[in-house]
Amino acid sequence: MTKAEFIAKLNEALSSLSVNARQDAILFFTEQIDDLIDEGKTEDQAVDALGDFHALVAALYKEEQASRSGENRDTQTVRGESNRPEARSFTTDKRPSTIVLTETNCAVQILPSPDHKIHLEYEITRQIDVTITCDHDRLTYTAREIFPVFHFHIFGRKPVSLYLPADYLPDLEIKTGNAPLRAGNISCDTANFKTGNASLSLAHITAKKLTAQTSNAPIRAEHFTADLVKLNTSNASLTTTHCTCSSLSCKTSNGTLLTEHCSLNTLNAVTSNGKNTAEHITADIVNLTSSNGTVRLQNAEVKEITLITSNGSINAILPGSIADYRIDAQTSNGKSSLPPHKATGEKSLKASTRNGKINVMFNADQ
Amino acid sequence: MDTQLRRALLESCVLAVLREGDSYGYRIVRAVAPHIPVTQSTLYPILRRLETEGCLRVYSEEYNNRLRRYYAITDLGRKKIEEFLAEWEQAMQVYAYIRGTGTANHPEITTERSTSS
Repeated sequence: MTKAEFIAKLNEALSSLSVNARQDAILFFTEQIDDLIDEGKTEDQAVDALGDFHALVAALYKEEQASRSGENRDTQTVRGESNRPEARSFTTDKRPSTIVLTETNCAVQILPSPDHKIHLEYEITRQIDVTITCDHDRLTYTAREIFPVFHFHIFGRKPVSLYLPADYLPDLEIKTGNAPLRAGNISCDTANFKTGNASLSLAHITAKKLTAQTSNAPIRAEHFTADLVKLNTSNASLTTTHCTCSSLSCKTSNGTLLTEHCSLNTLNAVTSNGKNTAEHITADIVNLTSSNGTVRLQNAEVKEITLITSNGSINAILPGSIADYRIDAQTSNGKSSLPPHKATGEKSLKASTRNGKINVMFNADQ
Repeated sequence: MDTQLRRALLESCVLAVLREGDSYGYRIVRAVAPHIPVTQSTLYPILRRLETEGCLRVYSEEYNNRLRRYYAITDLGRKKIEEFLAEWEQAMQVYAYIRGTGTANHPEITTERSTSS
């Protein structure tokens, strides 16, 4: 094959590459053939010496695909080049029904989008690999820490920000660790928020089902509307305020539980060594449980009340009069302001403690 | 040899050649070939990728009335070599384990730490 024939063949084979890539390849191989000819080879021999033609073409197409950038890319993996964080972003017009965001050691925030698109803003470093895939079904963002052989100082990254447009109700699976998670002014269908050793803060959210879990750090949930809500932490406080839910379940240990200004069907609030307080709420059913802490219920328009503690006291100020409530009250070692049993009443009140007082009063009876 | 492995080795080989000084396509092939099989067709995609990654840069100089493409290593390319060497140090330890504890029977396995950087 002559030099001209080879170049024509190369040009033809690379016709689907970008103009730049094709011209660059042609320049390179023209030079290679010239060098081989300078060395004494014939054109034929020079072309033969170049190696596997088809492998070359395949490799070039693969390279071009990998380096193409833009919104249409379905999968991209980026990794920083330096130890200092570099900002990156991803935007899409698509409305995938599920968004899965997985981070480690980096804060995450979910906020409303300024326009009709989904935006992701994040930072990468040499130690972080971020892979984003997006199709009509699912958007995934996964950050992976690559442990360097040399222990370069790891710079902290700014929070990952996920911006959601209005009128878009995805299922959200958001997970990070050792860093705060917050979400505000968004709507979604089902949301699962998870972090550990860091605070979780949710505000102005509309959802069908909401689960939020952390450990060793507070959860604060305010101004949200949802059907089913489960909030879970440990060794820290859990505060829910100004929420409207069908079923609200709050659980912590060694921390204070506060549920206030809420409108609920069912409230289940459980803590071990902390105060458990519910006030200014309306609900059908309220269950407040603490083992070693005080249970308090105030300004609560509730049909069925159950207040349980072992070593703490039960304090309540309830609307109406004692006549409105069926009562079951037990304590082993404390005084009780309630009769142990009362059979009649539209509402129901159960209070049980071992080593604490029961101090329940009724507004109308004051 | 595994394709991915070969490509990783080739990338570092090319950078090692450029570490000694700027070079051009044909000379790079000649320098690498004794160590690992390579042709212009295998070299070219490697050069493209290293350029995209920022491990080398390209410039042109006149030679014999034509333009020749020269490649030069960058700081990032040097770092990549360091990473490669460190990873392989680890790999060699695993190799020694897999090979077996009878190192007396395998005199070619020696773990030498380079005193120069």
